[in-house]
Amino acid sequence: MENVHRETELERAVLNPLRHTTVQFWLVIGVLSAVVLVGAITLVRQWVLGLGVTGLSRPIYWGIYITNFVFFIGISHAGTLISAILRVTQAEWRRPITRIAEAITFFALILGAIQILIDLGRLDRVLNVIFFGRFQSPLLWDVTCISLYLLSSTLYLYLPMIPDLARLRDRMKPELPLSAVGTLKRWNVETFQHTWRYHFYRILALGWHGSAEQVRRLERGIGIMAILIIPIAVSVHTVVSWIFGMNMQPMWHSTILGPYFVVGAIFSGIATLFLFMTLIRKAWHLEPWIGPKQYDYLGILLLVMSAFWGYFTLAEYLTTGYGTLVHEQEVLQAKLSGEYAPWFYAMVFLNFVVPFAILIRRRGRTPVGTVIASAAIAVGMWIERFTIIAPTLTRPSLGYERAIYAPTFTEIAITAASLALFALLFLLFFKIFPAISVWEVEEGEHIAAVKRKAAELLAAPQM
Amino acid sequence: MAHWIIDTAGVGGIIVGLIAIPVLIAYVRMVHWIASAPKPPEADGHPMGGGSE
Repeated sequence: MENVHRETELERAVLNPLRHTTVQFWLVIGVLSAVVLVGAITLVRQWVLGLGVTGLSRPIYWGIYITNFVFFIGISHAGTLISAILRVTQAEWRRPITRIAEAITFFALILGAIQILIDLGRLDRVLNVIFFGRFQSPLLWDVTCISLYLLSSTLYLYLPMIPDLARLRDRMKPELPLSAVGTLKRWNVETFQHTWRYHFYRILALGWHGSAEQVRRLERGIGIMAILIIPIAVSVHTVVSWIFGMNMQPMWHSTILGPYFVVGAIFSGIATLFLFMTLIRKAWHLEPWIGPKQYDYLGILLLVMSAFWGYFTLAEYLTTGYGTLVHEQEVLQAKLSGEYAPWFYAMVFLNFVVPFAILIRRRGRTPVGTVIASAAIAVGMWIERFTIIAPTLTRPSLGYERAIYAPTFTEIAITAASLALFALLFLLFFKIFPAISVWEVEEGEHIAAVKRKAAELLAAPQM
Repeated sequence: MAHWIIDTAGVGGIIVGLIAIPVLIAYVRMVHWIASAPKPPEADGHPMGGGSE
């Protein structure tokens, strides 16, 4: 049957990347896959030879794997939390960017959880948390909160996608049933892909028919999830901070760590959202929908978070500096004037100076400006996580000798592979699913048109 | 019995299970509630949906 539906400009722009793939896309996928492969081989080597191939030792039991864990869990706040807050506050400009934000959360959480498995050295030891978990241990709270967050984020990503999946189902209705594809005289990859995709979208669309009652139920479900997910997301990063905060280690045992981690998470999350939003916008040609408004408003939010981060950093370091606790002073000096000083000042420069210099003016809140600021913040926030972990563990308060931590090639290769895998999963996801929530953008356009019409009627002279 | 449960599932397993299983059930019920919304005859071709399923 001929498909009589005429696609809108938005539909065409969003659905075209799902139907056609450019050579550049495969090149990017190839490079990312190569990095992931090198990391995977290195990881297998680490499993075979043990954690001795890393720079980890006693007392530096956490290194850049845990830095990566905190970093990924942090950027997972990009999505769901930002999307949920913007949805609850009914910020209309959110509509084209919520799906990208929610996908970042989903993949960042998976990558964060993988870092723990890598850091354990032996995979079977993850079961110890389940079998021998203790109520008193933040590790158990962490597993609980992250599992709950992953579950909720998956649903929060999936629910707003249902009407778009139904749209894809209807656009891709095949002429042949899936079973008949194999009987074709000349096997046709395109026909197979088309048929496979149709069935895939059909199953995920759950028989969506778009009745008024179904739309009402969907919006109610999304609304409930948006409210529910905010405390869950806050709890996740608070509990991650408590893994450090509940230790009697210098510069970890601090009440500020919980809110400091949450602020840092939202900060790095918005930066990551900018990076991936701009990547998708450029590659998928979505400029008409992801435009100046999103860059301006989200840029202001990034600037505010940079100010919050600066305030928390000052409060933390100033309080420690005024104390006379010997172990804390040692760690503080290592950061301010010791071997970690270059890391510390790079962190302040990248997280505070660069974003302020660029984003304070409206001219800076452009795609180029925000991407430069966000790249700086992404690197700066990774360094921040590193400077929380390494200086403290090299100067522990338990009577160990001062130690040195230098990550090996194994750790660097696995870190690079983790970042590449994150980008790879993100890009492949948006080859299967639409990057913009089409129905939500259409709904927004409809609301704007009604408001315009109402304003015109009110402005018209009364008879 | 209590010992058997703790030995088999572990304290961690019980805590994660006590939270994850009810939440999972609630989420599945929510998805089912949305999917099972009644379909009036005029629903076909609704601008937000596909229509013909």
